[in-house]
Amino acid sequence: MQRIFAADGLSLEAPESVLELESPNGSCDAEADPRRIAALIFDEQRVPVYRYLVSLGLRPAVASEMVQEAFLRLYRHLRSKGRSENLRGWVFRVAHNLAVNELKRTGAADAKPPETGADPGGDPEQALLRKERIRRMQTAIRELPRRQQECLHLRAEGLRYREIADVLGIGVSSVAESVQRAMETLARSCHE
Amino acid sequence: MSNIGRKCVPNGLLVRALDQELAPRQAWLVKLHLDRCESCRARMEEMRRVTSQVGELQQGVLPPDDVRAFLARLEVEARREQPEGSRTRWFTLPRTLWQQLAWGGTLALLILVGVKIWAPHPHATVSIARPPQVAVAPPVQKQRVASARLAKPVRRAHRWVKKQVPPAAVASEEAATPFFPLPFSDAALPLDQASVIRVELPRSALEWTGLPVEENRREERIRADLVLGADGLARAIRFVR
Repeated sequence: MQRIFAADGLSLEAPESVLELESPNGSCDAEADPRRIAALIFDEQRVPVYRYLVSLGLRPAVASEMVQEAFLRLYRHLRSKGRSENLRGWVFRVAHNLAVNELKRTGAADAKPPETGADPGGDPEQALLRKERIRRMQTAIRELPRRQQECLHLRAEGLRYREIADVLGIGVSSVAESVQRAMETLARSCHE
Repeated sequence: MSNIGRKCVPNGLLVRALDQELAPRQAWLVKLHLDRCESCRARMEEMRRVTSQVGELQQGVLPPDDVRAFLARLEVEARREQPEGSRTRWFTLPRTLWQQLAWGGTLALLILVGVKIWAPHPHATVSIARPPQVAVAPPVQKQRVASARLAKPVRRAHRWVKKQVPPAAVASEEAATPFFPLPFSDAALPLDQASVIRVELPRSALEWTGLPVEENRREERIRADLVLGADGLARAIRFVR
């Protein structure tokens, strides 16, 4: 990625030093500018974090606010020389905890399933079938235990089992088991 | 795991293979099995399809100005702290073990010095040393010699008593024992505002301090100085010859 984004005080083009911050194991250079690191990770991870929060049942406006709060906390974490390994997992964990607190505060999760996007066009019958399949899948996912839902959504955002375990504060084997059970349940529901 | 090549692969392994969460050797064995097992291949495809459908559900479009809004908040957050260059750091938390040890040692030294300086004045808690429990009487010596051998608190009490005793009495050529605490007095009581009075007692009073008394001289009179506390109670006694 060459471009970060336009903003006062931050350049449009990411300098090479920023692009090299991310080491192969996902950690960042602790001496680098925390603001720049937070901005870079925000650019890369804000959409996955947002989708995860929406999938947990937060309303889009609240989820958007939570995303910003999570990344601001990341900036404060980096500024206070906090550990810089696995920052993606760190942000997801903070966002997850914020969402859980918000859901506890406001009551149950939003029952309305998120919109599934515009129809791709083409055959109306195929579009209808696709819509019906997605609706069935949404229903099946909502009926899964909470932990399995969380594992499934985090997995769908590309997190490794180790990262999911860190976010949810459980063991890797629990993550594997939750994902397996969720997948089996969903596969059965698709055949019904 | 060695049975993977012959037996069908359980769903757990299939999902982990799909997520690339297997060790290389396990992944290779699963792949080997899938190449020749139609049933497992179908299940694997099913898992892949479900995964894809779940991915489709992960929807969400952020507001178009979210980046700008976040950067503005980041800017505000960054301005809350002083610029790094303009700040004078008088104190930074120790980070390395050596720094922490040095800080800890310095702090402990300062605390010790502080305790030494600010400890309460010894006059407030001076206590008179208990006499030895031996039955042998200490030789009656000149006051100057005796006081040199006394314990520090007793010497201090002695000096204080000297100041309180009338000059006429001190100047006289008297020999006196050191001050002994009386058995029934509380030695820890402060000596502030104490006074000394001269009394005459029967020689048997020597027994109060553990000194021997000759049986045939018990009724003889002997002079003594009594230290009286501010509460009027006698604290210590010395015998004068």
